[in-house]
Amino acid sequence: MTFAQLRFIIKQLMQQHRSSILLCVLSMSFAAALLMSVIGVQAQAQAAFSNNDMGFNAVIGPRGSRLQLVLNSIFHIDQATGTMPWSRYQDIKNDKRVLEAYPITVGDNYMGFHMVGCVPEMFTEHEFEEGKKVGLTEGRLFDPYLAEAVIGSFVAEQLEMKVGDTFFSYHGLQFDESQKHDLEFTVVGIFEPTNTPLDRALWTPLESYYRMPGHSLYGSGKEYIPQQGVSIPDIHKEASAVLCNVRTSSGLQLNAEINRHSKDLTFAWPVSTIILELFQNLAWVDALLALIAVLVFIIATLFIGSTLYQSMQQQQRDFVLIRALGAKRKHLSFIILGEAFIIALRGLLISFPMYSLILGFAATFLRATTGVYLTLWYWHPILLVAPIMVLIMTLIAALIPAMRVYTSDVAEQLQQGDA
Amino acid sequence: MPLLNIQSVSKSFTDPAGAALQVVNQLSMEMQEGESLVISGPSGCGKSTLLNLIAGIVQADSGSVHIGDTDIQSLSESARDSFRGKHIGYIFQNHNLLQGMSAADNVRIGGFFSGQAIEDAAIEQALEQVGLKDFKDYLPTQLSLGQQQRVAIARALIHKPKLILADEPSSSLDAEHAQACIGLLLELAAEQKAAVLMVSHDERVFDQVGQVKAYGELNQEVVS
Ligand SMILES: Nc1ncnc2c1ncn2[C@@H]1O[C@H](COP(=O)(O)OP(=O)(O)OP(=O)(O)O)[C@@H](O)[C@H]1O
Ligand SMILES: [Mg+2]
Repeated sequence: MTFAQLRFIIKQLMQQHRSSILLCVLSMSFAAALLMSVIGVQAQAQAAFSNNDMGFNAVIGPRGSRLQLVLNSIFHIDQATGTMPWSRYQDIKNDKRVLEAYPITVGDNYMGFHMVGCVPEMFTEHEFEEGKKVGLTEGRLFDPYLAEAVIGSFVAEQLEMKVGDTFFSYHGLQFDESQKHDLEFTVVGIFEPTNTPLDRALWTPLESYYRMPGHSLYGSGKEYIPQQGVSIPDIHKEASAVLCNVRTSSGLQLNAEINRHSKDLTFAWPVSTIILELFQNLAWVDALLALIAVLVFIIATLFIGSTLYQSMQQQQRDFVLIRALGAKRKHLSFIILGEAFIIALRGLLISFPMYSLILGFAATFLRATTGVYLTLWYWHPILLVAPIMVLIMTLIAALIPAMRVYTSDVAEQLQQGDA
Repeated sequence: MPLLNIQSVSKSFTDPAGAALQVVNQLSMEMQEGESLVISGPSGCGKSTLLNLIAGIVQADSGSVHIGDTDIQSLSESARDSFRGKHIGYIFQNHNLLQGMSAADNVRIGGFFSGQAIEDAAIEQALEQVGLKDFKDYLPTQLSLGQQQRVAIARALIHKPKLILADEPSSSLDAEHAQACIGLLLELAAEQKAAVLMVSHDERVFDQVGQVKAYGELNQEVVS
């Protein structure tokens, strides 16, 4: 019997139970795609978060959690940790071990996107990626003394905002219409897409943050309400955090100085390591997801096994006939394994589009909530391991019916079929 | 040399109680090339078992079954399978066809195990001979029982075997169709000079085939 003939028989037999084969294929590919997604997305998200430090290796902020400080000031998720007096920022700025330092203020939002008060130098001098400053697709940078804003590309896209549009800021980090501040901002520029958290915020001058009606300053320890036409004395100013680059060789020293010996500040360094803490905190979620994926995998295998077994029962008469026509035992086993192989191959092929679908959902979600961008072309061994596991598991599932056909007695079955 | 020469073949099965059941006992018979023969006998006497012994589906306890100069019972299972695929056509009472395949494809796979290349034209011709020219794409479920048996006949003949075994091929059909079906089988087999060994307890078939042997005559009575 030739290979082509074997293929012909397999094809014809498979046509008979097309719908259950489709279910098999889908369940197998879903199981593989789930496994690929859970492990692949996790690894990619971790890598993406660690690489998305916006070019800062340290954040200094008020006393509190280092992770929260990083999440809030760099990723614009989570609550702010409080404020620190301006003088502390000046100390940092003047420290020789600190290469660059930019103060920011947070705490307001527009439609759920964080508004960040900052200085224009952060965009004219700081390199977000090595050798790369952020550019504008439209407009110009804000004037440090006006109620102007440059918005991230994701914000512009989501809220359909363009240069010249105006908006109000709202107190808090969740959008709440009753929390409106009575200060109208004008969009003067839109940043180019960077696939970093920068895309997801509205960037305004520190000064406008200070002068927002309803904001008071506590930099001196006492409440100060800025007056129109009067410049704000430094002593009253404050910052939510200072984004820095410190000399790598001074990191440990600064860490000891600030975290151990100062009472009011936190030094979050190195940023990428602190982000890993987040993933360590989330490890149980990963474990749970992986467990679910593995369970789905096992169920899919059992499902394939039972479907193959059932369809084999249905085809018993066919198998006996094929044997009566001159097929050997091994031919029938080949036919069953061949069917399983084809099912697995199809499941394997479909698992990739299914993976990209799941990844697409995860990417959309992550991009909207964190600004971190997942790509389809991220390589992780699971992308190979999961499909190969599908192949192996399906063949294992097919072994039982294949063995059964191999060991069954044709004469006995002929007897049954004819009775 | 006879086409089929069975010498003192015996076969026993173990019944569910564990006792030996002697179904074929010292059976001997001969058939010449192109000959047609019906074996009759009561239900359960061992007719189907005899056909399976000849086809090499069942292995004998003792004795020889020569087809031409090959003793099929002395071959390994795999060699028996090959031999059957090349030299024997087998037709059953019913459920002869692979349910997922069209009439033409059912005929086609009759040639798969013969080692011969069967052309599409030969398949069409075979279907035409059994009067199913226009039904080649029909699935078994779309064919009547009589039509299904005719497809089975076409399939049994497609690789031009010397010997055709037919196990009650007409018993699922009504009288008229049964007669037509057996007539067709005998006619086509004669054209190809193939011998037909049929098993039946249908008396109408006896008349059609002409030569009838009672199973009991061939088989030695089991004395217990
Ligand atoms: N594989 C088997 N295992 C055990 N016993 C068997 C087996 N095959 C057949 N038998 C027994 O052998 C006997 C003969 O069976 P066989 O099928 O050859 O009879 P038959 O003459 O073809 O009957 P029928 O006319 O009803 O088809 C029966 O008693 C049957 O129970
Ligand atoms: Mg029988």
